[in-house]
Amino acid sequence: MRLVNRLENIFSFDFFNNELVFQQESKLILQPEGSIIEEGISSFLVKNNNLITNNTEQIKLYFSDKSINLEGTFRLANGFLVDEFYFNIGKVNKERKTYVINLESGEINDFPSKPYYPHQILKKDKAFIFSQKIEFYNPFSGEVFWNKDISELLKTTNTEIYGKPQIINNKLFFFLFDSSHQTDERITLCLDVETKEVLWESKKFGGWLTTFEDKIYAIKDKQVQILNPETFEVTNLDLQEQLLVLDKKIHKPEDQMIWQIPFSFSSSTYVIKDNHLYFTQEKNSTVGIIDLKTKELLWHTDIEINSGDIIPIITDIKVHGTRLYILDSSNTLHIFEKDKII
Amino acid sequence: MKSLFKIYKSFVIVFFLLFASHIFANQPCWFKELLKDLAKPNVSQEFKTFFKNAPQENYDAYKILHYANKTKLRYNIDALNTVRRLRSSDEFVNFVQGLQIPNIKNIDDFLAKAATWYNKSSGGKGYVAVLKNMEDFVSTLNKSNVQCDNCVYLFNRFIVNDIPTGVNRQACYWLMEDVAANPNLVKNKKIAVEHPVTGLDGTTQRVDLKVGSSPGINLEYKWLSSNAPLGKDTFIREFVKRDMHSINSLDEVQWRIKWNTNQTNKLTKNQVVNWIENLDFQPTTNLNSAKDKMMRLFQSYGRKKDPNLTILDYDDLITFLKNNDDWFSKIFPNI
Repeated sequence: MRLVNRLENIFSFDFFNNELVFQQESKLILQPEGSIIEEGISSFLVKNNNLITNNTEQIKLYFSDKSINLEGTFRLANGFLVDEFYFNIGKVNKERKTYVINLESGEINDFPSKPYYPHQILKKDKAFIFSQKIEFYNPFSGEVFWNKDISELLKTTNTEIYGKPQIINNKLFFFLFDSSHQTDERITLCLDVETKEVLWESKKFGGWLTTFEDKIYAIKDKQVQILNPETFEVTNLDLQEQLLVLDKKIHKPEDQMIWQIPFSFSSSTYVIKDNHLYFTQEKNSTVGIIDLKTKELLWHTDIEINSGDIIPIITDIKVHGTRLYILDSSNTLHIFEKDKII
Repeated sequence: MKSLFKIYKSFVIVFFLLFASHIFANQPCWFKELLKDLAKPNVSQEFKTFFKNAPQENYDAYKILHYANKTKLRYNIDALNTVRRLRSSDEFVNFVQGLQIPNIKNIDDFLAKAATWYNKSSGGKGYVAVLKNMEDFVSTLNKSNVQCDNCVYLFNRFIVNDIPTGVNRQACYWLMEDVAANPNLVKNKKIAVEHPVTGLDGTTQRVDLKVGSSPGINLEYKWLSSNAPLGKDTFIREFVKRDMHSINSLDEVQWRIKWNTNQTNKLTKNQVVNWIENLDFQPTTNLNSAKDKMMRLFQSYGRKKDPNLTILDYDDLITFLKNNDDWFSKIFPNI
């Protein structure tokens, strides 16, 4: 990989109409022309090639040559894009309401969520709450299809869900652990979305779950776990040997010793594409690519991060076309180009 | 008759010492010192008994403390017993020697050099307490099947001058004490004393101990034994800019703080809420990013108890923090 560009003061980035779009300070800029789409934004996101921006006063959706403004206090992280509908909860004149925007017609409806605003939405009228119990319900009518107490699924002092549950083909996958950390009890479960039946469980597979293409991944330390959600087959890739080269040692004269810095994957900031793992390092600056079929470490580099007194980490990674994009905690976007077939 | 016997006894002792000093004239200086110590009138009976028909290990314990050049310590029967016990503990010896502490040749060298700095900012803990703490820590790691990365740092702190103040040594003592008291926390896990990261501004940041992974827990150890409270700057640098920035869930961070004896410097929830409410640092872009991350983390945490919680802005976050206590006791447990 070859570094082709480095952009500064970038707070977030994504791809819209196959082009790089990024927030540089409060401007939303579309590459390659560098055209300013909007100014004064506080955040943005792209979902299913729909562009949504946010500032303290409104949310704005761009679609099909039109845009819709919704005035009020919103956070993009609370929004869902399901089929042709965009859901978000906002505060307008101190009143909280759920808004549903039909992206085809542009129609906006508001309604009070019953009994509460969803934590995840499957279809327009089918949603989930993930709390001490998992509840599958209709947020419009309040009708509860089913619920399940998570303490029944893992008996610990303080059972909680870790990370975001994954939904694939009407199967709900989630990871439970003992949040008191007084035991090492942990389990990944799969429930049938329609019947709440436990279809599968594993104490060996688990962690921060992420879906790429048609598989669920959990990565940590120097290990990659891959779950086939159809067959429940788990593949464990132990990459100790291959990643030994990423372990470091540093001498700190003030500590009068040599520190061992064993490499560990970031469990949440990575991408899998075409059987290649584009990884970042937990609380550190190494990035690289591993071929998951051959377990070969294809490329790696250390990103120079100058984030002052903010801990230097990689905050985002994306792959688009032949390019790899890395955003760091100093708000610098590093763009790498494949210089050979990887 | 009694006084005649006393004179006779004194004569025998003096004769014995003269004889011994003649016999042992070519012996090492530690042995000569031992003989002198044994002859001192104020030395305890326990001390004398320690060497009566004693095995070689007892003499070795004295030798180590003599080399440590701590005059009072070598008379201390607890110190002598502790050194003797640790030298004969395969578990302790193998662990400490396996650490490969810089400039430490063997266990005897470690036990001697550990006597140099033990009482400098270890919360007033004595040599025996420091070693006992290490012994318990090592025992917990072994019994609980724990692998520890960079544990050498914890032990090395007690044999080097912890410039400038010795606060790291104190935190290391507390870390080892806490791990030994909470074996379930570390059982069958990998723990890592994390290396320090020096920022461009010269500040050093690191999490003291990371336990397990995905989800792991990052433990920050502080022992504020003086009256000084935790400062706002430290809180912002280590909690907001480090911890909040690098975790996925609030379950992954905990500050384990030991306060002064009467707990006058104890951190309160109101203080923390006030710092978060009035959060301000440059550049504002990083400030906004930090605020956004906190809203996300606290919403996710709060929803585990209250599914209806939705934090839409910073005011909502502050309201949540003010109206709830469990987040505070979770992150800052009452030690």
